[in-house]
Amino acid sequence: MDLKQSYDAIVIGAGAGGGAAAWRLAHHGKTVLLLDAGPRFNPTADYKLMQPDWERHNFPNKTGSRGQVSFGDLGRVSEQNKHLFSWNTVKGRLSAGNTRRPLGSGYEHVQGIGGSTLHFVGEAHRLNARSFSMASDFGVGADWPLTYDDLEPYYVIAEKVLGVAGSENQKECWRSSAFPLPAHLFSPAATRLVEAGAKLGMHWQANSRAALSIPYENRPQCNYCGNCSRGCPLGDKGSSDVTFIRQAEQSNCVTIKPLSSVIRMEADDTGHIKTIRFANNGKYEVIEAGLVVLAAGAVQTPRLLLHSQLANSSGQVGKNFMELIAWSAAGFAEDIANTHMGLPADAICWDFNAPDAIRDVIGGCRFTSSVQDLGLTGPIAYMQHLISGHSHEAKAQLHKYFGKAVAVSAIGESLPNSETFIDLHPSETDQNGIPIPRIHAKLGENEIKRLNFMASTCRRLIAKAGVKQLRLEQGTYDFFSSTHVFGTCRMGSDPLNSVVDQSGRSHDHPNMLITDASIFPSSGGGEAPSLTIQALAIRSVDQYYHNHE
Amino acid sequence: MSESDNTSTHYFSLRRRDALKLVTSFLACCALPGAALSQHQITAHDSSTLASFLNAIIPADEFGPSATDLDLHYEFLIIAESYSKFREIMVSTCKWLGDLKPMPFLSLRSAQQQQLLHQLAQSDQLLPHVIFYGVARNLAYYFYYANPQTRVHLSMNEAPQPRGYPPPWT
Repeated sequence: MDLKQSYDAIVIGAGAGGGAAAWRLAHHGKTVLLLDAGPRFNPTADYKLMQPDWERHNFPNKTGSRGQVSFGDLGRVSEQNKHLFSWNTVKGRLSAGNTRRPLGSGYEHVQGIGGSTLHFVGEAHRLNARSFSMASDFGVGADWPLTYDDLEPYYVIAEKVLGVAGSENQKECWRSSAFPLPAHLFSPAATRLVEAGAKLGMHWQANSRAALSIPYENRPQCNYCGNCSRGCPLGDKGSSDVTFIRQAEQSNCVTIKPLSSVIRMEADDTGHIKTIRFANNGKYEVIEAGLVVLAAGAVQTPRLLLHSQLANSSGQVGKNFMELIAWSAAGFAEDIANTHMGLPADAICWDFNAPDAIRDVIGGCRFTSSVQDLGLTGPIAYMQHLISGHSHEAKAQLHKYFGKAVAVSAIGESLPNSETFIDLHPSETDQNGIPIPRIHAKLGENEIKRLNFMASTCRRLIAKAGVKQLRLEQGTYDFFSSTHVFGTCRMGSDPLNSVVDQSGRSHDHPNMLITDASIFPSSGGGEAPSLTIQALAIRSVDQYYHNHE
Repeated sequence: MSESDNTSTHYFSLRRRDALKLVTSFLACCALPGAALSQHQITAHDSSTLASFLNAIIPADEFGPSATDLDLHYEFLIIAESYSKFREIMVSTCKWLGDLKPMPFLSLRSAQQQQLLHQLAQSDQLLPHVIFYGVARNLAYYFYYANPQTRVHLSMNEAPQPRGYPPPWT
């Protein structure tokens, strides 16, 4: 084993929060070791969007790029809510039985240099300013120990690094400066939904996107291939690897060690984190650091803390987990073409985003155009989800309808409840002998009500968009399927009921910051979390050094 | 043989693991009647029946070649080599098709084959051949539309990159 003390800071996790923290540490002239359990991805070699069989390649599953997770109780489904069952025209109902199950791997994440930003579509949202006070204003969840106003300057910094393109009207999210880049054009499917929304009295607008609408910082503009989630080979998408981490590496302050799984952290008698043990290519190393920044996400961060028995004097580590609440609907419109072209989630409706925007439900949601998000960009997806049958008729249907898919998705607030949490599996371990995390996630009454609203609104929208017959509906009532996860190391002012303070610093360990979505006290009304994670990470580092130097 | 023909097998070989995932996830949703299935060897007759079955699912027409024009049946056989559950259900179905009365599937006229496929598509019985129809259909389209020869009449590039789809989109 090696024992070194050659870095000012150790950052664990190279996704949205870890990348932004490393970048800000380098900005302060600090030396940084950035560890990630996953590999580096080579966009040119690893992303297959230039190959003729591209549609068979989802985001690559390289060695180490998926953390093991297990599932506890995900709740039950009821025939009373059968209108919320997922289905498509090819397979019929997609789930069986009366229990909620993980869809695919359930927790859709990427380990590696860039983390889950490598496969995200690149929405860059600020959290609704009213979502910071859910407990005070609505009696649910917890308040953030900071306000939107506190975070706003850091949103500006993060947007500039990413090159966010957007339109000016952002309702509750006031802005001190304009978006760095102009908004993207609406794709054919988005245009149709904007028109449909207007007929229903809904206001749709250009989504704010971490994808370049014009060339920026030596990165090319997006060419609208529509397949961001398979990995962007151009580098116009603002994933952490080509933005924060690239700039951090250029500073020569940051050393990156991929395929390095942290096994345990240990604190000394004063509460300071003293050593970090990690495995790299089968070799075990121990390292000391002045500052530890933990950014492994809302599932792996509590896992590491629970295993290390750290930061949990409040008993809140792993608690208050919040999952993704989502609904999607798709079908064909006759009088439209080329809907597979354009940027995913390019149009958005924020009308129901505020915590009290949906009648009789606490917590908001938002709607986006989602043809590309659902992967409806090639014929394989059409044949597996939208067109049933076989033979000449099925081929003829494909040729008639290809490019005519219209889809809308909603993502909504998730409120914490006592049956939704992360713990350690009692017997299953990973290759390093560390217990794997276990996800318990039950939907509360508010979530089901919100899903009902989201589903019914999607159906109204899609009908107004000219879709006569739905071909697909998919949601999180009968499946657990989360890309966005929150909570588990809640931020708060009181060390008795929170894990970190308003600057992301552990109440128990003064040299440890947590800079991922685990510290979110509330999920927001469907906003994508990465920009808020990055803003918080930058602020955490600034506050740490402001208080120490 | 065209250039595409030369490369088609290569395209198919690249992502067999993903194809296997597709099969696995489909079969995982089905309660297979295990007792009805036993170890089966794939005979030459089974292979011929499989090829005919796949061509009934994807026949040649003005929109593109047939399943066997693109050697899809070989892909099924390769998957069957490495995945016993798939092999069992596939061979069981081929035997069932071969034993059809009054004549085996191979001897049926095209319209009769289509009628049989239609019945399989409509059935909700958890019988091996009903389940195999669903698996085979999805897997066949998965392999088929990965080949650019099948997409020449669709308004899309051979691959999304490097050209992308810059506006205008109308």
